[in-house]
Amino acid sequence: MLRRVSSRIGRSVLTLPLAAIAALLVFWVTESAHRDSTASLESLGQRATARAHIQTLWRVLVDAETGQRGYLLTGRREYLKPYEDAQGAIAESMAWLRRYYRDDPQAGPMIDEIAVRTRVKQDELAATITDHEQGRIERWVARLETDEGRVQMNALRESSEKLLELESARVVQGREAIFSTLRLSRIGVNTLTALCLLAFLIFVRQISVLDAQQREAARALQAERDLLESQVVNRTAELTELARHLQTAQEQERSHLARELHDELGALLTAAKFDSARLKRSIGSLTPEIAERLKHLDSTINQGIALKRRIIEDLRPSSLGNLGLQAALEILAREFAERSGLSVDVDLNPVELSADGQITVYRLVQEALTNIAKYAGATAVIVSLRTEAERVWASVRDNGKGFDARLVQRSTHGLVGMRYRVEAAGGMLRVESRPGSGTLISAWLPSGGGPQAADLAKPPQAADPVPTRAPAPAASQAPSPVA
Amino acid sequence: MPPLKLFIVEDSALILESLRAALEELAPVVVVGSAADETSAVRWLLEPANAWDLAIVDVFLKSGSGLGVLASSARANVRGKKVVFTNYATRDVRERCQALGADRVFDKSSELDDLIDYCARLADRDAGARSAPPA
Repeated sequence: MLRRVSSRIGRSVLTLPLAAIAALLVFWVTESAHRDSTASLESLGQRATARAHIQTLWRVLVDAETGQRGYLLTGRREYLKPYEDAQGAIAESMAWLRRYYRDDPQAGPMIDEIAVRTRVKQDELAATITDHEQGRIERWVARLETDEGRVQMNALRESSEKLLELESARVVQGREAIFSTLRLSRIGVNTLTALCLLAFLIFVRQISVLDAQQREAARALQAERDLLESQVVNRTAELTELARHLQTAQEQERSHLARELHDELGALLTAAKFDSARLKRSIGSLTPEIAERLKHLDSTINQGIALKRRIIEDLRPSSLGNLGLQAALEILAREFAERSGLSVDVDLNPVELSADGQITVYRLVQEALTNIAKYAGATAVIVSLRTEAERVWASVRDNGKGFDARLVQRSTHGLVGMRYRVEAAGGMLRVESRPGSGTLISAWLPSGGGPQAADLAKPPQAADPVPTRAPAPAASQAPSPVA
Repeated sequence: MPPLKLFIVEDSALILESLRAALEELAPVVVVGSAADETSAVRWLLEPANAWDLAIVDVFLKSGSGLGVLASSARANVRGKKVVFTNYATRDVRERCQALGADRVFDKSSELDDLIDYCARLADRDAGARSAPPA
């Protein structure tokens, strides 16, 4: 529930103005409370002074009366000191009180009353003293006996006490006011604290919601990325597989064609050649024209055979099948040296490789040499073949101008295809080249998996996985006596 | 004169037939047997009961290789002559064949005449004193 409320509040546009108003409200409450309290305390202070003055008034008058009585009794002038002092004190307090109660509707009349009675009393005291000084003894005694003085004092006391009570009541009121102000202020501050806490909770909640959202978004993004990455991995694997398949399919196709050409076409051409030879021997010398025609026929057949051989050789190097990889590479290197004029050194050792591996290595060297002739501008080439720790290493190094191996150039497309073939055969290809430092193309393939290529006893045929023998001719396994 | 006895090791029926017809027509020879793969060729050639004068061996066979036939024959020290008749007569092949005991190497396409001459000469020589020049 807090979440709903908090989210609603958090999103509302009123939130900020309301919060501002609440803050102002509390601010106003505390300020006015402070103002009221200070005013009350000040007035309380004043009230204490007022009380003091009222009591002073009373005390002074009592002192004056006592002094007067003393003087009347003893006739000594020093008893009049309090009476004389009283005049000034009375006047002072009276003036203060008048000033203090000037605008006070309740206490105003009271202080007036007190003023009057004080005046009366003072007059009475003064008259009695005058009478005594003038020796009019009977007059002041009579005055004393009238009890006038006591009545006056009582009246004065009454008035003073009324005023004092009024003041006390006002003090109580003032204190009450202070307490209620403090109460209000306290409520205000507590409310504000509560609101702040609430706001803070909402804020924290918002933050955590935001946080959760962010984490969720990041998680979703990561999941998306993982999905894409796995898709990329899958696609790459598919494409790699396809590339390898295409490379091997190409080689198999070539092998198949070479086989067909050799078996079928080769046999036909050879048979034609035999017939031509026989014709030449039997009727070749009959007429010059026949001799000429037969010579031309023979020549044509020879050209056909030469073409067939060239095509077969391009499709599937015969030296590989007959003489083995080591010899085939040697022939390849020699022929390349003759064609290109470059100096070609070889370091070839007998190795054990499957037929597939052999043709792969052969094609690799072929491709490397072709590239050297086309691009490298080299003068020397080294071809090497060796076995090392269960791996067959083949490499072609040249001293040409090299290239930046990190850039994929058109000229290296052949090598890209080679990489797939080498990997499909279970090995790895590496190209090292730096501009100006020549190039080294090296690859390794797992050793073994085939008969020794240069085995004298059984040099393998151009072994291909596709059995392409034409419909088996009548040549049976057992020798057939033909005589 | 008794014709030269030939044994042909060749896996293509067409070429075998053409070769047999050509040789028998153009030289005093007779083909006494043929084989299409190394194993049966070796077995026949090494069989003492089989009489033959000249074996014509192709390198490409249905299984095995002509080079193997040569090697086995050489090891067995057979009496007859052995020549290689192949489509793939490069220098290296010639060297290899001769190292394995072949008496001659003929290219199928360009040296057919030479093979015929060789057979004729051999037939003459074998036939003993013969004054007629080879055909």
